[in-house]
Amino acid sequence: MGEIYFNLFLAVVSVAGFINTFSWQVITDSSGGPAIYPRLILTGLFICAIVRIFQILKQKKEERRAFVFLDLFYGHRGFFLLTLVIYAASVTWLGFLIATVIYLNVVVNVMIYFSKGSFKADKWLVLRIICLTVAAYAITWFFQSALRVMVPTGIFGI
Amino acid sequence: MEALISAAGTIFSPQIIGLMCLGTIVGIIFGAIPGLNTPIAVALLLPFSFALDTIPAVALLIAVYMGGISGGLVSAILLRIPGTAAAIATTFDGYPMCKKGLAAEALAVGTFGSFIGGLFSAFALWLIAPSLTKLAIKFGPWEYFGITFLSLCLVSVLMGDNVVKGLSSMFIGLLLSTVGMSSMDGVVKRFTFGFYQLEAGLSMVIVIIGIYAVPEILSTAGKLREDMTSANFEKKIFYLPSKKNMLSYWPCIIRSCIIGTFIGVLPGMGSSTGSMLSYAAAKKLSKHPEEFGTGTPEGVYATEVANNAVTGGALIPMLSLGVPGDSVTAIIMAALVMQGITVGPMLFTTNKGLINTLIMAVFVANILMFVFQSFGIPIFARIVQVPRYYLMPLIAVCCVIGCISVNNRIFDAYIIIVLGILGYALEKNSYPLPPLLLGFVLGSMVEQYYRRSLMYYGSFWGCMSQKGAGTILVIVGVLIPIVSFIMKRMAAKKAS
Repeated sequence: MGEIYFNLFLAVVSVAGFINTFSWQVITDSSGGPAIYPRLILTGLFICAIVRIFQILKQKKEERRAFVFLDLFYGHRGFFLLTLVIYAASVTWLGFLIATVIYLNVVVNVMIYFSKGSFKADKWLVLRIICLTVAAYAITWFFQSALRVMVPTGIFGI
Repeated sequence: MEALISAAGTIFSPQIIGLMCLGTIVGIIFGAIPGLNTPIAVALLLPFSFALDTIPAVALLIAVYMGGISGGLVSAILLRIPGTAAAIATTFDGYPMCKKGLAAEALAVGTFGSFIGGLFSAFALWLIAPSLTKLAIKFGPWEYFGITFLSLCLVSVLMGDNVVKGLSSMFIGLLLSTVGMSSMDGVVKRFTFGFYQLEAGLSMVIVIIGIYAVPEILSTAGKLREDMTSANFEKKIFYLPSKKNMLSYWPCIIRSCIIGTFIGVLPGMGSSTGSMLSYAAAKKLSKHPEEFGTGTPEGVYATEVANNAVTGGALIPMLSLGVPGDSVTAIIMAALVMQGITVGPMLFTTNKGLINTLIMAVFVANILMFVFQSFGIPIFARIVQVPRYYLMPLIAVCCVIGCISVNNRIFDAYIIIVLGILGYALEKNSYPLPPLLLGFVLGSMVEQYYRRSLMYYGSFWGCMSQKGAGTILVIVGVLIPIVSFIMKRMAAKKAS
């Protein structure tokens, strides 16, 4: 069923996009204007989505494969995705360096916990935190000083 | 020949060789790190080159260019994250080879392929630059549309078992390419939904990271307890592909050289188009097409030979017409202009010495790239042995900062997360990602050339009535998926 919903979503997106093209500024030239090409693409996408829905409906129930998507939002993947979103959001106000130090230390240590199941015998914790902090600093330095990228400095100005 | 020997004398000075070594290493590093790319590396060294004389300056930038294009294969093979757009197709077979424990062999095949492609394009630059340029000059918008349309139709070869899924993927890629200002009109904002950040469209780096890197990181995050991939390499200093892999794929290598160089000559087509076209052609013409996508060295050769063959090809229109083939050659052209050199047709007659030295620089840069990368393979291959809980967060950080570096804004980091979720959903449900990326790469070109052709010839039928390469390419493009579909149906009937 999941894939049917996914293709319905694609079909709805194509219809909405198609309608959206009519709100664009009209420029009439012999090439058909800026909306013609997106409309062709959206029509193609809509047809594919509908054909795929029929393909799935024609399949026997036992032949249908479960749609893999929701596992992205729980378990280890869910944790990683959530921390990535928080990291991206916090870079602006914490600054790239501080956000990266926190992100690397939290994610690496939690993922070690996930993979080993315990922190108890972890004698490397302090060294790991130091190394990850140095790595975050090195990445920031490389992009900021060597590549002249304006990395966000946040409220602390770092 | 004598002129080339004299050019070699110029290049083989300690200063120039030292600069080229530095440039090649910088290029390989920038190519290998997701989020960084060759144009950034070349742009970074451009101010440095102003302090040098013309030949050392251009030799340095050419070395970065050659190193950068082949450096992209490292992360493409080891992490399934293409370091550059040129290495997208390298993931198709390079990563499966790595998963089989053949990381070092895949890197060696890719490096050797890059070397051959680079050398071939340098020969092309030397022997047929003027004639190729004359051919490229004759290409109008309809011919360019023909090539881009044919490339898009060749996607049918990359679609896997379910054509509808492949087409959906391709249409999503094409749709992503329409986001932002219409390139032809420059006034209509398409699918920007009020975000000014989308007005310039989606950058290639962001789409690659979003569609390839983020889903891979998320997918790996769920496999923390699985065994790590074995690097499985012999302890030797200099890596070459096995004898079998070196000798068995010459038809594919030669074909990829020709495709890459030809695509390179056409301004704006880029090495990603060259490598995708070459991969599709290799799969179509291979004796074992079923092995493509499962980790065949032929697939790695097809892409890596072609994307390096593009480099020399891209220098041809830059030097002979003053039209840069891609963004890197545009920066190299800027460096030449800063040095007081006027590029264009007269350069071949007025400054033949410089041309010969440039050609020699391409040769030497490819040799240096081959040497450094082959020495580096045992080090690179160890990346797959780094525990995932260290590697994935570090790559995520590189992806985020890589995105920020494109436009100096955090908005692009949100875009990669959204694209990452989309890429994950598609990939996990067997919607192939290559057609999506090819659709994105070619989408804006197809639109631009199609609309220009319509403006030029009045209507589609006006275009089709033109006798020339454009019409033939369009017809071949239409026929390929039809023939492919019929052949698949016949094979299925036979099997049943």
